[in-house]
Amino acid sequence: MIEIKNLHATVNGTEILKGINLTVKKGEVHAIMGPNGSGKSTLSKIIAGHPAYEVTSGEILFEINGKMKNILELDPADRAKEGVFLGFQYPIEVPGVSNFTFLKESFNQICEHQGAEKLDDQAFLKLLRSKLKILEMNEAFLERSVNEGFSGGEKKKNEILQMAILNPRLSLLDETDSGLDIDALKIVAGGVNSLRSKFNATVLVTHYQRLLDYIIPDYVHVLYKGQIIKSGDKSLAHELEEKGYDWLTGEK
Amino acid sequence: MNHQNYLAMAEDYMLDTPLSALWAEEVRKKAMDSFKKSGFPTKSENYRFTNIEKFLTSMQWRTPHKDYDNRVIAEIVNYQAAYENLIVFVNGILAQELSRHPSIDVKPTYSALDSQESIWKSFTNFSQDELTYLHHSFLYEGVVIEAKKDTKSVVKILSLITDEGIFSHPTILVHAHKHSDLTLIEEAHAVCDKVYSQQIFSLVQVDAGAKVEHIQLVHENSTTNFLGTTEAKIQKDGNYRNITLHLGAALARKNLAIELLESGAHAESYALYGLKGKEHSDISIQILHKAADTTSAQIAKGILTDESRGIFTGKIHIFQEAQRVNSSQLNKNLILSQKAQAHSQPQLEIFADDVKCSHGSTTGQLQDDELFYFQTRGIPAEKARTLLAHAFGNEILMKIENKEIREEINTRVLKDFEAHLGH
Repeated sequence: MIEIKNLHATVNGTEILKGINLTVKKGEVHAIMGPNGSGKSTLSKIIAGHPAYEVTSGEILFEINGKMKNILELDPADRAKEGVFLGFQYPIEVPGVSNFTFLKESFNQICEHQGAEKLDDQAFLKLLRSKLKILEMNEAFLERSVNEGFSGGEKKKNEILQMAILNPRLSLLDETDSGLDIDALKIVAGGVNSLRSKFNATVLVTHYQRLLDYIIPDYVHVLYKGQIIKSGDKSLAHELEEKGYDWLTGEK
Repeated sequence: MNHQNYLAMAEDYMLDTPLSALWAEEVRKKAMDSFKKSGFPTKSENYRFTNIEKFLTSMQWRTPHKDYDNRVIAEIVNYQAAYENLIVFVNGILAQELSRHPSIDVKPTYSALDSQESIWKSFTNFSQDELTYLHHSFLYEGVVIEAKKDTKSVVKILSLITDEGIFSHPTILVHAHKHSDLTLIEEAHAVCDKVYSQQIFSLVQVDAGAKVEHIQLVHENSTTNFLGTTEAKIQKDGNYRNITLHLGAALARKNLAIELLESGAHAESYALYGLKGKEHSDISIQILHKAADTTSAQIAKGILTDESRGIFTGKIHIFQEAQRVNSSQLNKNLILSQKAQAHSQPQLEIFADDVKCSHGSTTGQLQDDELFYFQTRGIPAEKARTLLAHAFGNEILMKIENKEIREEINTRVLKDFEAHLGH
């Protein structure tokens, strides 16, 4: 589904990614772990197309209509339309735009791209209700401005709600567990699990192993100083939890 | 056309339009004398960002006339369905045949002024203003509206121009009697692509316990000029809310003064200027707390793109005797292009000691993170800009209390933004 080859990237002239290689296939869940500042969040933002980062070499191939295509030239909206989704670590507050308007606009953009019929307010509301249920969210959320005044847990649920509506093929979830209490974490993880299928893939970016108790990864990668220094199965996450990152980085 | 030409035009106009009220004739003559001496405001501090003369002198202007074509009728039909009370000016002249006002008392200014001398003369905030001289030199057309005690009504005043070079000067004098509830929408909007100018003078007396919502919408094409002067006076427990919307015009200049004269009086002033191309909006608002226990709130927002310029001057004046006043002022500008400019001038003059008064001013751009967030949800940057700009302005539009009016204006604003920001 996605193949990242020798990816180098800089921000304001500083190199953050120093040759990332990563392949994710349909149906898989990958976890990218690593200490703060290792480049985990950067990697997910670059895949989604954040304009602040400059890719200096390498490529990101993504399967579009059965063919692997380099998506570095696509703008973020076009990547989203092709099925890339980024769940934000810090979802943006947008005063004055209602959640309903935002979700509907987003959904209809993607429908239009896929040649599917746009939904009117009534039909869209019906679809939304079924997704709200999965995340144990109240319908009143739809009237509120996007993320404005939301608690940490509400913001993260709102990210997964967007993911549920957009039904992406590749979901990049950046520190989705941060700021969540255990109940909210279970609901959010349940939401992510319910959306998994053999046709899509999930990449979890996380600092802690906790989330991986609820969303079981097939592969775990450790990112350090802009490179993947170790890959393994889920037991690697447990080992990291036990021994700390300095077990691999050699730092104290 | 220099100010001498305007005077010659005013003198000709006066010969054709004699006023029956002698005091009003006197007002007109004095205004002409004053304008002769002052000319356009060029040196005044109030106009330092806006050279009115430059906008107005570039062509030959003509006084109002009554001819109009069928395009006007087509425009009116929609409004007739939506508003019970509709007053229409075409080319600066009250079109009685297109107007109707079954539930409110409306009379033409030229005949109704006879009985309005004392109320007229009680409005003095702009009596030394050059644009007042210009306006009153052409004093004749307009309407006097009386909202009777304990009544509730909605009135729309539509000013349309269909002819090249028209310069119209209507006066709208409103008296909201005790405990009346009046929603008044003044709208100047383009029905053709001609070049013209309008200058509207509005005076609003809010009696004890009365409530007035006053929406003033300028939605013209980018070749026309609009000058508006509005004064409101609020008596005990009266409530006045002004919503000024500048959504299109080469020049839109607004002078607004709101006086809170007795305890319990409350004023709100909201403004939104959404500008494109080389449009220029200059809004100057004074709120004058002249009595104790009065309150006011003010928010002005600008959305500026292309090479447009938006100027906001907000003055809160709290007089010595006005203790226990609560007042706030906020100006925010959203700049969407390199060449657009915003000027913000908050002014506080506080002479009482026991007051609460806050003010703030910000100017910024859309945040890259906001745009990126929208884009990652499949919403293209252009569409995201439109939605975000609309959201920014929506705070002002949401202040319109009447739902139908709010939605109607909101739809138009969104359409405009899609047309001008979606690139």
